[in-house]
Amino acid sequence: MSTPYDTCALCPRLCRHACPVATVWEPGAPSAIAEVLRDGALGRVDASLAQLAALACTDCGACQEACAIDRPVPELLRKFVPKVEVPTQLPPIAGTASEVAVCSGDRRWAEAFAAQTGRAVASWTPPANWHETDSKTFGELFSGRTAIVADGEDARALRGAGVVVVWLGDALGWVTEASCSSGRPALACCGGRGPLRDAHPEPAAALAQLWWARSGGQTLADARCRRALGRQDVVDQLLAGT
Amino acid sequence: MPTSSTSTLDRRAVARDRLPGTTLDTWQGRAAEGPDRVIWPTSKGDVADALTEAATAGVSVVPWGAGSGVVGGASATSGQWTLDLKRLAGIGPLDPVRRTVEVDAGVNGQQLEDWLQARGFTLGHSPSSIGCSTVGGWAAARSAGQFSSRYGTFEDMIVWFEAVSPSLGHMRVGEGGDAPEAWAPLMIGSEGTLAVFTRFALRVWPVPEHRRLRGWQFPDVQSALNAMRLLMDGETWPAVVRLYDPVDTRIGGKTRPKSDHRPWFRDWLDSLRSMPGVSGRALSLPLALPGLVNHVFDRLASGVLLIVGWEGGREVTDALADAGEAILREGGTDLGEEPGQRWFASRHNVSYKLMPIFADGGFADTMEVATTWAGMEPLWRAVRAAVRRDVVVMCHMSHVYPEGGCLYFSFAGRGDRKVWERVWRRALDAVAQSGATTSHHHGIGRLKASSATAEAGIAREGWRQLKRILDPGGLLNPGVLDADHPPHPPADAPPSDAGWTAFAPGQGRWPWADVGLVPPWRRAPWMTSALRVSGPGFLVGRAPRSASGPDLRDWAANHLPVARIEQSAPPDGDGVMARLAGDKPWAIARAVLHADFRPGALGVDAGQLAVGFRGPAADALMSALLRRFPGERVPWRTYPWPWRDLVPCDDEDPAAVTAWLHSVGRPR
Ligand SMILES: Cc1cc2nc3c(=O)[nH]c(=O)nc-3n(C[C@H](O)[C@H](O)[C@H](O)COP(=O)(O)OP(=O)(O)OC[C@H]3O[C@@H](n4cnc5c(N)ncnc54)[C@H](O)[C@@H]3O)c2cc1C
Ligand code: SF4
Ligand code: SF4
Repeated sequence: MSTPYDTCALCPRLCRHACPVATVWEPGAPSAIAEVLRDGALGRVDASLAQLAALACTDCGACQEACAIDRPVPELLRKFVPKVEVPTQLPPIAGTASEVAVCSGDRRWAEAFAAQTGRAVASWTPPANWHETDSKTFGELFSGRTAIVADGEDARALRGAGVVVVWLGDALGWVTEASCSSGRPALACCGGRGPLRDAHPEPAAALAQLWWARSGGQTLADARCRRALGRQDVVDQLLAGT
Repeated sequence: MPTSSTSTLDRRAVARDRLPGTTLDTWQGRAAEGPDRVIWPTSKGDVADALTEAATAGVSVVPWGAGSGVVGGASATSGQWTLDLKRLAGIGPLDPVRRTVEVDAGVNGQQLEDWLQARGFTLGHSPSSIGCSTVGGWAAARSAGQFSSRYGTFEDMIVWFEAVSPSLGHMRVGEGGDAPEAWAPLMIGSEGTLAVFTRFALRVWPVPEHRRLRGWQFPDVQSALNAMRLLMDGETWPAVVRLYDPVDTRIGGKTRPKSDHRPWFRDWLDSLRSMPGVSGRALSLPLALPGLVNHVFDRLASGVLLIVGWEGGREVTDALADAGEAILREGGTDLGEEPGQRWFASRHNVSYKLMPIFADGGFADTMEVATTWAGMEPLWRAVRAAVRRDVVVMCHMSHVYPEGGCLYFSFAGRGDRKVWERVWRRALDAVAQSGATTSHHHGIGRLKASSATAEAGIAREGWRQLKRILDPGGLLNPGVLDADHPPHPPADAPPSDAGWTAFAPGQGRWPWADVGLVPPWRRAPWMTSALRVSGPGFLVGRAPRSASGPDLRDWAANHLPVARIEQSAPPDGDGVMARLAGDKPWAIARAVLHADFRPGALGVDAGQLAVGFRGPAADALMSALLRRFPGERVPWRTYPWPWRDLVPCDDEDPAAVTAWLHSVGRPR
């Protein structure tokens, strides 16, 4: 019997270098996940084990990009993810804010930023499909401000609108030059993919490591990602700081 | 104690490496449970703690890099703990003057290469598993990359390494080491049985400025092998030499890069299905009737494809490639750049071809073996004859050396573990009987423990002695490398190959006649001579110079009174030579080597550096050299390789100069 996971399950993990999770955690390698999911689909292992395996993925898409046969791993795994509760609409950007934190997943990122930096911050959760909105709107909205971004796709949209973008991890000093051998702290937020990749040529490995260390090496989602934002325990651990 | 886990998910993920027999097991619902515990050290201290703890708990320990091994070396089961090393993940510093990089053992190969390339360097090590293997795994399995004839195999890249053994704890071997250098050839290739590698200094190269790759068609395997041998004898140092046998020419030679948007692994199936008598039928038919398929392929085959490429500095690359391509034109038909470019673009993709075969109910496997030039064509025939009734078989030949090369067979058969086991038994027997080595670069693991033990015979005692020193309790990776009762009969006679001469220690033509003086990091990847050591019932170094497992030659030659030492002949005769102006000869030597020249002779004469080239490219290389470095041509003279006479260079930064000269040796 065939399952959607067959090809990856048989793969010698050829994309593992691209996967920020596989870099630090073996069961997170796309083919390792697929192997468990296949056994799950065939009733050979418990469904909860299969879901646990699937949750390792941060949905960054780097594996698919690296895969020579373009296997849609993120898409295959998405259905295993519990629904994330997106916070209700936050207040619009305050006029006094000198910086804006764009938190498409969870406003707590912005709050943490404000608390840790002591700076005036307006947090804003964009409406659904905001990436498709006319880029001019964002140009105006963010005019004169730096966007502090926790998400690769948001960064892409903002950068496309000419807004200066800084990754939240950098802004908070979580990843310092000392922790990044390139001297240019890496962005693992999108697994090294997306618009910030150019600014961060470092493989996602360095950052994924750091995140792993932060979480005591025990969490499943050791690389930060939109999906991890939906997990209370991970968010709490990460925001607790080192 | 470092972080560890006993969760099902963690244990399952490291239960097996990529040995196809275990892939078949998992596929068919016989997944292994894995070890009792998985441990993630983040420092060498963690590694030492884990080993101590395991000894106390009475369990054995299996090191795990990325589990891309294909010989069962990293698989673990109950009663074992797996030491997953991927969190030993530091890269750097890079020393651009010495051209070395320090790197932790758990670093993923592609991540290291990306890091280096971003800084203008390359390791030059490019196994097709580069994305799914680690630096420590490369050293442990003595890995070889696709550009091995230019950059060497992995052991050639090591300047020093650090490791932790159960009895001695932390040690460093090689430059600046605190453990005997003679241990290095035995530890590299020891597949986690002697110590756990934690850190390396590796030699790096500038990203090549220029690359020339072309495809050539030859009428048959032997004529192509002849041309390949001439390339190596002529000291033209190609980076890639890759010959596909007639079947692989139809399949592997057609691999396309991703940009084609076609799932090109289907080519493999399509070419099977498009064959007369098979067309339109399911894959199960060819896999069920491999004898027929092999027969049809043999009849359809016309000619073989050879991919040859050079890379490096522009001037040197062009000089070498011009001379090499002239050799290839003699017997081959130039197919132009396209086949070479296509191969390059898809060079890591061939592994994707194996998945659909399993998915369609079959199995696929690969076997890499090696022998001398004269033995290659007969070995190719012998293996095919041995397995052709059970599997569709094809072969390519890459990783060539002046004295011989590697044959890489791919098998596809019915997904039945018994068939898989039978094929391996028959194939390894055929290899052993023809006097070749049963492993070139995939390692020995559990799969080849018997055949490798039989080959090594009493020379295996070298590894066992060191095992008693480093791991007396047998904590590390039991069952890997060494088998007590070898079922494979040792070869009756060493493979005959003109050009091998026996000598008594101290009497060889090249300095490494004094066996024991040339550990890998003192050897240029382009050494023209190789060494093999034989005696009653054993032969180590069956050519080429690099084969999986611990390198037992040095130990055997020095410890076994019955040892017969043989050396493959470097090309004879004169070349062209020049003395370069300047009174800092070794600083100039470094500059010459940095400029990508690979001299066939190098020495100091009256305080000046003498540099010589041989072979068909010699004149062009000399002209290029003299355009860069002032000097005058002088009569040819053979110098011993510099590691003999070299004194640290005191006319410039000695560390920098001597470090670079690792590539040709360093002072004693
Ligand atoms: C698709 C595919 C293509 C391949 N192509 C090539 C190729 O072109 N060239 C080539 O040489 N090989 C190739 N291989 C084989 C494999 O990639 C190599 O053997 C590689 O060196 C294994 O590295 P790893 O980190 O995955 O080690 P693992 O598989 O994890 O381990 C291999 C062995 O080394 C030991 N080990 C691992 N790390 C350490 C350490 N730090 N210290 C001590 N022992 C350790 C393990 O116990 C085991 O015995 C290929 C494999 C696959 C699946
Ligand atoms: S995405 Fe591609 S490379 Fe990664 S495991 Fe799946 S098939 Fe292999
Ligand atoms: S989408 Fe990203 S995190 Fe998920 S398996 Fe692929 S590379 Fe890994």
